[in-house]
Amino acid sequence: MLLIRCPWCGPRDEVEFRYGGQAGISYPSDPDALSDEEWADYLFMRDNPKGEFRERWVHAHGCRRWFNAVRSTVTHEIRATFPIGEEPPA
Amino acid sequence: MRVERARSPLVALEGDLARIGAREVAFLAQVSVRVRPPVDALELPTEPNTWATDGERELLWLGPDEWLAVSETLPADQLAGRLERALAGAPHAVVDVSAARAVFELRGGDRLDLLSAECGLDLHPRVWRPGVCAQTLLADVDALLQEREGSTRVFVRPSFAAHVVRRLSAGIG
Repeated sequence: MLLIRCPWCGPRDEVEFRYGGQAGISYPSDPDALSDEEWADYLFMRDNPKGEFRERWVHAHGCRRWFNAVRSTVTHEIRATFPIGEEPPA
Repeated sequence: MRVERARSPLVALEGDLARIGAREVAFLAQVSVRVRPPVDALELPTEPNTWATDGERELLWLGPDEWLAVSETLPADQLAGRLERALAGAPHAVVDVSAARAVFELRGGDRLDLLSAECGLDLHPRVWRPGVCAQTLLADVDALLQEREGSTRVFVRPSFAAHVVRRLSAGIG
């Protein structure tokens, strides 16, 4: 089981968290202007890197806050967790 | 006319609770507080997973902008009214949620061992000491634990309370 560090609650068991997919995808500022391909790209297409991946998690059974994490998709190592709107520590 | 007296959610579990050295804290006034700190008129604990008291009420940290106020001496409407007045002027939400959680209190000296059997949280006295609280999973369901001087309070959904108490008492055979 992974030990995930919630930015507020500290390290907690993985079962307390839920996964939220890739981080940093913002809603289109003018959705009507998008073509079908661009809209599908926004809705469905996600990066799938081998290595570090920025993703969203929520501490569902704790403080119920969303946060961002940088996780290696190869080793599952979580290099950093940080509040949404902030940049990961270098 | 026959008048039904209000019944607390754990009244039928008195025997099970006694087996694990616990008793229900019935009709505890619970009020949810949402506000962005700091608030001058309220001593809101801003360190995550801690709680503070001013004598008549306790304020438990639930999130960076969320607290649970509880009181054994004030009824919920008065507790909420005082919080409303203290927060006047700041954008906030104060809601009576007294029925959302059943509360029981473990008093035994081995209570943290008992809880540890059903909880992944580090409950060693080195880090789990009076003044801390935490939302976590207890017996696979959401729970709020509050460590007090000589006792631990457990807040769970009323409909899950029997399950939690039975899982805890299974641990002592």
